[in-house]
Amino acid sequence: MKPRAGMLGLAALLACLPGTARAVYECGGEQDTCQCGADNFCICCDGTCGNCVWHAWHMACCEWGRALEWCTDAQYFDDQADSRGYPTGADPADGSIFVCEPSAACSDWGHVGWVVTAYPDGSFDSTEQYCGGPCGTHARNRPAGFATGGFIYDPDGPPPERDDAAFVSESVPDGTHFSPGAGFVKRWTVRNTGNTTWTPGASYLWTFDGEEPFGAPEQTLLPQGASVAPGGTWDWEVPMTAPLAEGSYVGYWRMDRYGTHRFGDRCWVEIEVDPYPDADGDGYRADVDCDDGDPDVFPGAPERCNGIDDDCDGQTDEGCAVEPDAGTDAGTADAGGSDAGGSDAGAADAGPDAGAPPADAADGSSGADDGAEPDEPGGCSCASAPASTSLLCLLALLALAHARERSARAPRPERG
Amino acid sequence: MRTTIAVMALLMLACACQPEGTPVRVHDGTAGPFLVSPRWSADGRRLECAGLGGAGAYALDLDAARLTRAETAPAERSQHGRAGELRYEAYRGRILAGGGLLAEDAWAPAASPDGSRVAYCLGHLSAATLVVQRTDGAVELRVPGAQPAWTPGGGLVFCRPEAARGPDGRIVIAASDLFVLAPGAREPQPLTRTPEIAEMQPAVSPDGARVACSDWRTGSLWVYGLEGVRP
Repeated sequence: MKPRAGMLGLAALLACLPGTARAVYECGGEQDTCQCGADNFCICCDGTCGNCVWHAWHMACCEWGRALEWCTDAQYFDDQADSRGYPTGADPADGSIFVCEPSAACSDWGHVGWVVTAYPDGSFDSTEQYCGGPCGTHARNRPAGFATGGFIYDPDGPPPERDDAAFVSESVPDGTHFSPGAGFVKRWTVRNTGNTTWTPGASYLWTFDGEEPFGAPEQTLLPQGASVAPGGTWDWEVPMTAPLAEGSYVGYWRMDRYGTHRFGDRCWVEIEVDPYPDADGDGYRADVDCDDGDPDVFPGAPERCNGIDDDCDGQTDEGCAVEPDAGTDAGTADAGGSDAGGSDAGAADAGPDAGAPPADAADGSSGADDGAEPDEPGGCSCASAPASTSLLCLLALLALAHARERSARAPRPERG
Repeated sequence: MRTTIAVMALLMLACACQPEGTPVRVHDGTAGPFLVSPRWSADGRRLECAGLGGAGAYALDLDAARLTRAETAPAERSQHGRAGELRYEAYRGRILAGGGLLAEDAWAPAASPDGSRVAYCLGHLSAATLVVQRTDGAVELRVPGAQPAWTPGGGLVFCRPEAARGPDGRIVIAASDLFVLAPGAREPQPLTRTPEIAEMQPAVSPDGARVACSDWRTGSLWVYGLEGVRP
C-alpha cells in the first residue's frame, strides 16, 4: 500500500454520505493507483463497499490526471466545480462527471458518477458506486435529464470539441434566374470557426439541410487528403438542377459531422425558375406544346390530316377519312348491311385492310388527301394510321357496325 | 372487368411480395431536425419525440406528415404495462415485486400488460443485456438487447445495438436492429435487417399494430408494421 496523503478526518467530514470514515486504497473493487498528484481522500462507505464521490474523484484522477480539490456530498459537486472554474454544462460528454441533485432518483444526498459514453438521445453510459451498496462499481445507462446538476468536464484536457462554421461567400447570388431543368453549380465558401480540424477521416461533410434539394447529392464529402484547420476556409461546390416548374425556390445546406451532427451557419441557395418559353408564339409554352417551333401545333389545335400530331394528344390524323379502296368500302358495306351477317362481314373485311398499311403510309407520305372527306358517314382513315392505331380503328368500326345494326332494328319514329 | 381483376391481382401480388416489417420513414432526419425518443399519442396518430441530445420537443402528425414544435417534452415511455406491485428505484436500479428484490442495476424497466413480467436492461447500452423476468423471480429470457417495449398482446419489441469506436475514439452505436418476442416464445425473432438504419428506442403503437423507432445514424423516424409478426 502506498502512503496516504491528507487528513482523513477531514475527508470524513467532507464525504458525501455517512459511513465509516476510513482511509482506503481500494473502494468498490477499484484500486487508487492512478497518478494525479494526490490520493483519493474521499471515504469509502462500509470499508471497501463503494461511494459515488470516491468513484468520481477516482475517475477524474485516472482519466483527467487531475486531483479534485474537494470531496463533498454529491449534491455539492457541481457547485464546487463552478466555484473553482471547472467547465460545466448541461450536455453529457464522454469522460465527464455527472451530478444528480437530491431526489427520489438520486438519494437524499444526491449522486455523482462517471460518464463513459454519451448518446444522441441524451442518455449516457456510466460507471458508478453507491454508498450502502450494492458494493462495487456498476455499469449503468442513465436517461436524458437524469443529471439534474449537470456535467463537469475535464479542465486540463483539450477544450471540449467545438464544431462551428461561418459563411464567407457564395456563387449564384440569391434571385438568380434559371430555365426549368437547367443545371448549375452552387459554391459556398465557409470558414472553420470551431476548434476542430475538418478532415474526411473525422467525418466532416457538407449536407443538405432542408427545403428544395435541387436534385443535388445529399452529402458532399471532403476529398481525401483535405484538411481545414480552425480559421481556414473551404469551398463547397454542389451540382444542382433547377426545378421544372416556374417559381422561387430555396434550399439549405450546412456543415455536418458523422452525418448526424449539423453545425455552423445554415447556408442557402435561392433561385428563380423562369416559365417555359413560347418560341412559336402560339400561346402554349414548351412544357405543354409538343412542337414549340410550329405555331399551328399546340394542345387543342384542330387535327389536320397531315401526318402530324397537331393537337398534342399523342395521336396523328385521328378523324381523317379512309382511302376509297379500303375503309370506305368496308364502311359502305356496313352502312348498307341490313342484317347481322352483313355487318359482321363488313367489319371482318375492314380488319385486314386496316392492318395492312398502304404503300403511301409505309413510305412516310403524309396521306393528307385521305382526310378530304372527314364528314363522310362511316369514314375512318385507317389506311394512313400508324400500325399502333389500327387496332383502335378496328374496334371503332366494330362499335359503329354494332350501333348501326341496333339502329336498323329499332322502330322508326312516325312522322307528323 | 377483366382489367379490374388484373389490376387487383397485381396489387395483391405486390402486397404479398412486400416483406413484413417493411419500414416507412415518417421523418427524414437528414432534411430536418435529428429526432429521438419517439412516443405514440393515445390515438396513435402522432409521434411525440425529442431533438438531438434529448433537447427540445416535437410532435409529428402522421396523417398530415407535419412536424411541429411541442411545448412539453415527450411523456415517459409508453410500455403498455401496468406496474401492479412492481416498483422501480432508479438510483440503484432496483426492481421490487411484492416487497422482494427482483433485480439491481436495472434500467429501462417495462412491465408486461398483465403485470406478470418485467423486462429490463443491464450493463451499458453499448453492450446491454435484456432480461425478461417473472414477478416470482424466474428469469425467462436473457439475451443481448435493450430498450424493451411491450405490445398490448404481451409480446415484446426491443433493439439490439452494436457499438463501434469512431475515428476519434468515441464509442458510437454503429448499427442496431429490432427484434420481437412473441408471447410465450423463448427465441426472439428479428423484425428488421437493415444495416443502413440503426433502429433504436422502439415504441409500440397503442393498438399494437406498429412500432416506431429512431435511427440514431440520421435522426430519422421509422414505423414498421407488426401485422403478421404476432408479437
